[in-house]
Amino acid sequence: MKKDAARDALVQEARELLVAMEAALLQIESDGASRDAINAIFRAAHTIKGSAGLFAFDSIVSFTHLLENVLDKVRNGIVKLDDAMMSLLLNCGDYMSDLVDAIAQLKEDQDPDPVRRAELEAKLNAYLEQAAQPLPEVAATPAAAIAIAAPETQAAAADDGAVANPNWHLSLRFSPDVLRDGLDPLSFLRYLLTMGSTVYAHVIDLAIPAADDMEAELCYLGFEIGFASTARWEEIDSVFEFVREDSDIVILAPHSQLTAYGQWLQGLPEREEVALHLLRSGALTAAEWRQLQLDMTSTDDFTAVGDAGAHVMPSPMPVPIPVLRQRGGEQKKSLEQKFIKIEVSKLDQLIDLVGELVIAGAGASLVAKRKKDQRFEEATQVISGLVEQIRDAALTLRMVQINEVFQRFPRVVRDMSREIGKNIELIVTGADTELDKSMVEKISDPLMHIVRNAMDHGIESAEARRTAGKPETGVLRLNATHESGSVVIEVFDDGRGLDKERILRKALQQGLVTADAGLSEREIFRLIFEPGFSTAEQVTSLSGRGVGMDVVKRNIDALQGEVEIYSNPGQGTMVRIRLPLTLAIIAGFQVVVGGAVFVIPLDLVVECINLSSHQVHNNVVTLRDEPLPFIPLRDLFDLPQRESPRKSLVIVQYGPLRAGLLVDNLLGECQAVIKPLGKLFSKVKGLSGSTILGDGRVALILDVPHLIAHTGRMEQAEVRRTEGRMSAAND
Amino acid sequence: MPLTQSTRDGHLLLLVSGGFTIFQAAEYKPQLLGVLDSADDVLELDLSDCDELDTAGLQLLLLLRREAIAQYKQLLLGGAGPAVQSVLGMLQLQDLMRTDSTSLSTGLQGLA
Repeated sequence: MKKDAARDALVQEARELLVAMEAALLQIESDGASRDAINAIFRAAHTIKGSAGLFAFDSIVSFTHLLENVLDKVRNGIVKLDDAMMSLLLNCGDYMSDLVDAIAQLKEDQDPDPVRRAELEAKLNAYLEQAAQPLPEVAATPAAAIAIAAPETQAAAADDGAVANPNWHLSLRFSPDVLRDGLDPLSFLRYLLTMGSTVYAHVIDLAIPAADDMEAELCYLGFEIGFASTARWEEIDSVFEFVREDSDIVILAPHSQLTAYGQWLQGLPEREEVALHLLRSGALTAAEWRQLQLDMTSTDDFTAVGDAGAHVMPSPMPVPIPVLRQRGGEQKKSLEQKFIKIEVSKLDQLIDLVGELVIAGAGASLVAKRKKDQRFEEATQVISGLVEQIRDAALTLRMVQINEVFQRFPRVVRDMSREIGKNIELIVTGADTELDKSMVEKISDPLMHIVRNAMDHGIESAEARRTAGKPETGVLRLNATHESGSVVIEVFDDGRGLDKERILRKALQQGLVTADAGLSEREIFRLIFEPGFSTAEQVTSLSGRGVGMDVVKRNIDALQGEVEIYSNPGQGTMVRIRLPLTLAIIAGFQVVVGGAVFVIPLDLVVECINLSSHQVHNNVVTLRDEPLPFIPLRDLFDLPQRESPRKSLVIVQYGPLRAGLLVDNLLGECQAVIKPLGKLFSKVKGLSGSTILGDGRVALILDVPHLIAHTGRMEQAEVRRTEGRMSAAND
Repeated sequence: MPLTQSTRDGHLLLLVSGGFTIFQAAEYKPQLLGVLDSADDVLELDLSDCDELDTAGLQLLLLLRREAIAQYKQLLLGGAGPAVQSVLGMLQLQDLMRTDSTSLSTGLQGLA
C-alpha cells in the first residue's frame, strides 16, 4: 500500500519533470540555448533517475544515465545542441514517458518499446563517442596569465589581511551518498571548467577507510581546487546547486581574508594535509602560511572560533565565511513551501462538505425568515455571506490554469508540422485562464483532436499557400478566455477553411442528411460532428479515419459544454468550445413553474421581465423592438396549470444566443450544489442536474444551453410548417 | 569480460575495459583487491580500453594505490584511454601511478 503511494508520487513527479523538460527543449528551439534551459533539462533527467533509482527501476535508471551523460556533454559545451540533438532529446523524453507509463501500470519489468530504446541508445552513444576526446581546457595557461598580476597586489594584501591568491579556492566535500544519488562529482568539475580553468587540483583521499570497510558506492573523496575565472560567486555557486544537501562546499573568493582561510581550515579534519597543499600549490605564500599556522594554533587555545571573526577587516570582496558554507539547501526549501501537494480526493471531500454547508445554510436562513426574528436573520445573512466566500475559495482550489493542457501543444505542432511537411507556427494566448481540474483533464483529448485536424485539413501545404497569396507559414492559434460564467477555448487556423459544398455532398453520400434539408451554414458545419462523417479523401496517419470529431463532440457534451465551428473559405476556421466553469456548485436563480421549483444558473440569467406588458406572438415576445423566442416551461414539462396573476419571463443567454423562459413566479438567488441526475433521467433534455433546497425539497436545474437550442429548433419547425401550408395552398 | 587478467613482462597485468563507474564499482572492488593480493611485486593496470571513469572508479584507483603502497607493491598505469586521461588531467593526477613505462607519460604530455 505504502509502496503504491510512493510509486504514484514517483510517476506523477516524473511526468511533471518530463513536461518541464519538454518545455525547456522547445524553449531552446524557439529562443536559442540558455544555461537555465539546459540546466532545467539536466535537472529533470537527473531527478527522474534519482527517484527511479530509489525503487530500483533499473530500466529507466540506465537509460536516463546515458541521457544524462550526453546532457552533461551538452552542458559543458562539448556536444552541440543542434537540430538532430533536439529531436533526439525530445524522442528520449517520449521514450522515458513510456517507461514512466509502464511503471504506472506495474509493468516496469517489460520494455515498452525495445526497438526504439536500442535506436535511441545507439544515437546517444554515438554522441558520447564523438565527445570522448579529452577536454581541451585543462591547460593552466590562462591561470598563469592571471597569476602574474599577483605580486602587485601582494603588498596591498599584507596590509588588509587579504591573501595574495588571485584565484578562487574551492573546497569540495560531497555527501557520501552523492554517487548513489546518481551524481558524479567529476561532472560538476567538468561543468565548473566551462567557466574558467583549474590552477591546481588536489584529490583528498584520506577519508577512504580501510579496504575491507570501504564501500565502493559511497563517495569518500574531497577536492581542493584552485580556479581561475572571471565568473561571479553566484555563478560558481550555482554549479553545485544539485549537491547542496549534505555536502560541504566552500568557495573562497580571490583575495579572501586570511582569517577566512583559517576558519575554513579549522573545520576540516584533513587540515594539515590541505594546508600543505595550499602552500605547495602557491595558493598561499610562505608568509601567509606561517601566519595561518600561528592563527590556527592561537585559536586552538580559545574555544570560541567565532572570536576570530571579530577582527576580520573589510576586504575588497567581503564574502563572510558562514554564508559561503552551504548547508542543507535552505534556499531550496523556502521555494518548495510555496506549494503543498494535496490528494484530489481530499479536495473533493472538502468541496462536498462545503456543498452540504451551503444547503444547511440555506435551511437556516429559511428558518430565520419564518421566525421573523430580525437579529436571527441578520446573523444567518452574515453566515451565508461567509459560506459563499468559502464556497468560492474551495472551488478555486480545484481551479488550474488551462496551460496544463496548452503546454502539450508546442510539441504536438512541432512534431506534426515536420511529419506532414508544413510550416506551422503556434500562438497560445490566455494560457492562464483557470478551469476546473476535472475539466482540464477531460478537455485535453478533444482539443488535441481539433488541433490535429486543423493542421492536417485546415492549413494548406506551403505551395498551396503561396499560390493562394498567403504567407508560407501557417498560423495556428489557441486561445482561452472567461466569458459570462463559462470558459471559451478557441482553436483558429488560417488555412483553407471548410468547404461547405463538399461537406454537404459527403453528408448526402453518407446518408446523414436528405437533399431537401435546407441547412444553414452553421448546421452544415455541425455535420462534421456526426458519427461516421469524414471528408478526407486521403487517410493520413493523423486524421481522416472517420473517427474523431463525433467523439470530440460527445466528450464536450459530457462536460456540459458546446462546440461550434466558424469558417471562411480561404481564410481559415475557428473551432470554439464553451465549457462551464465548474461542475460542482453554482449560484442559481430559483423560479416556480406549476408548483415545482427550478434552478437556473445565475451566470446565464440576463434579466427578468413581466411578460404581460409586452407584445407576444407565437412564443415570441417583442422586447425593445427585437423579437425574442421563449419557452413556456409549463408546456415543456407538462406541469399542471395554476393561475397566477402575472407571468414572468427570465431571459437567459448562452454564448451569443438569448431566449426567454416563461415561469409562474420568481423566488430569487440561491446556492445550488449540483447533484447528478440518476441514470433514468440521462436521456431527458433540458435538465442538467438537481439540487436540494434549504427546506429539503429537490429542485431541478435547467439546462439552459439545451433550452436555447430548443427555441432554435422550434423556430425552424414553425417555418417549415408555414412553408408546408403555403405550398399545400399553392397546389 | 571487462576485467581481464594476464601477464606482461613477467608481472601481473589487469585490463579494464568498458565502464569503470558506480555501476561496476561494487563488483570490481573485491576483484581489484584480489588481483593486487595475488600480484608478486608489480601490478600493471591498463585502462586503454576503459571508456568511462567516474568518481567511484577514481576512488577505487586511489584505494588500490594506497593498498599497493601498504603492501610494498608497485602499481603501474600502463595505458589510459581518452576518458581516463581527461579525468586524470582535470584533477592533475597524471602522476597518480608511479610509472616507468613511457606510454602513459607521453600520453599525458599531450594534455598538459
